[in-house]
Amino acid sequence: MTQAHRIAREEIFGPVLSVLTFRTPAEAVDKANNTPYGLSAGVWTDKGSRILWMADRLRAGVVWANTFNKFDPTSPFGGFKESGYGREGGRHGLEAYLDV
Amino acid sequence: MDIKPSYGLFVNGEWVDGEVRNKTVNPANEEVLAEVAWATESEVDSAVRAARTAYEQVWSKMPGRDRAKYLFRIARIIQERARELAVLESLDNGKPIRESRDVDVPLVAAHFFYYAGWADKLGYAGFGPDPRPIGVAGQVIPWNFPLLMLAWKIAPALAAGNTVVLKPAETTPLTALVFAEICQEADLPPGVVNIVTGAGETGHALVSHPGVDKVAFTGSTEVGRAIARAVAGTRKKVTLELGGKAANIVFEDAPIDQAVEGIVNGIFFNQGHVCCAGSRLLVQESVYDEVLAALKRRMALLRVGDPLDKNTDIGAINSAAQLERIRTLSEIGSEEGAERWSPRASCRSAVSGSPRRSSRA
Repeated sequence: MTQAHRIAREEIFGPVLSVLTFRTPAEAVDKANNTPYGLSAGVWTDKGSRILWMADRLRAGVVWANTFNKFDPTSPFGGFKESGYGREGGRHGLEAYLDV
Repeated sequence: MDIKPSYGLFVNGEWVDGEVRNKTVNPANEEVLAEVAWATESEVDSAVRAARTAYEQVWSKMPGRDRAKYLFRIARIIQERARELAVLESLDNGKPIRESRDVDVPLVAAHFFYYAGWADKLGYAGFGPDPRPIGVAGQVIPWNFPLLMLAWKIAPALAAGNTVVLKPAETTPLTALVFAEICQEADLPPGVVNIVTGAGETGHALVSHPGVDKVAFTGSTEVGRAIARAVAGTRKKVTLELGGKAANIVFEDAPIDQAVEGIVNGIFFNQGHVCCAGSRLLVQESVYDEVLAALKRRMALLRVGDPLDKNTDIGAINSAAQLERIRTLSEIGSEEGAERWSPRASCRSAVSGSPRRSSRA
């Protein structure tokens, strides 16, 4: 499918996966960021340098590298853009409950 | 495990009957699990007042080391009652027991342990020598991880010295109500945690209550916008955790088998009811055929079935309304020309009376 399809753009919140392709890392970043959301992303590659290059450019609160849906109380979690405001978890999550 | 036939609201450390009552069902077989209250505006008001009194008279004055004691106690009770909480979560939400038992409940306890550790160390968190709490937090959480989202909201709020009024989602109120019992068991001072069950109107009454100092919401972007409007122009602090459409990006040099496991976990964990689900797979063209073939092989092995069966990978969609939304959007995908593939259905029934219903996790 393409990025124009509604199911590739809207949150379905169910077991439905949209499959798209890319040729270059830059195209992967463009397509990944082409959304009003920005909560999380995953990168699967053998190259550590590529993980860091991608993580710098992905507009997402969490970027998982060679894993996905991994949660830990010490790690802040939250979104860019229409995925939200503020962070929960870790030391960042404390700040949201303190008068600072 | 005992599910009571009926639950009230947990206000000021006590149970009060609600005026308006509704039912919560097991989404796997649509059996009614219990009756719960849907809090009215005046009931929300008494909960916020109780939280205010507890904040001013008890919790904000208590030394951090004593708040920590309660949080550690709550964390340990959650571990002691882990099996009960996991079964209840799967019954009310529809998620596989393997996930509620191995992911949700252990993470809930971990959150309380983690923030318990901060309660007496706030002066070393980088926010000045003696950071102060905000006051009363009004918290509204979703149905996809009911108890885990409660932990994300309540543990840091209490550690920092705030008191809370929390509203669980209308389709998944039960573990929050058992959490209220845990607060009683831990001797938490009355009013520090208040649980008001209900739907959108209850949530609106809570976030727009003038006695609330901090609003925390996790849920849809649509409701998040409405909440942002409701708190705009007030002194309330707000955090919002909303929707997502995450890209899961597979490069040609990735270990393909490991990536396929990650793709499946990304979109089928918790039936895809995850705000950070990897719902957009981006595959490098050179490995597209290989990845798709491996993914289809793996998907054909997923077991769809009774959430309480410990072998189930995919349980029940949380509500009829959500199932309808998923079907509608999938139909629109087909109509717009997307190629659709699903493994041959192998859903084992979860109807009442089937032998699997008694299976233990």
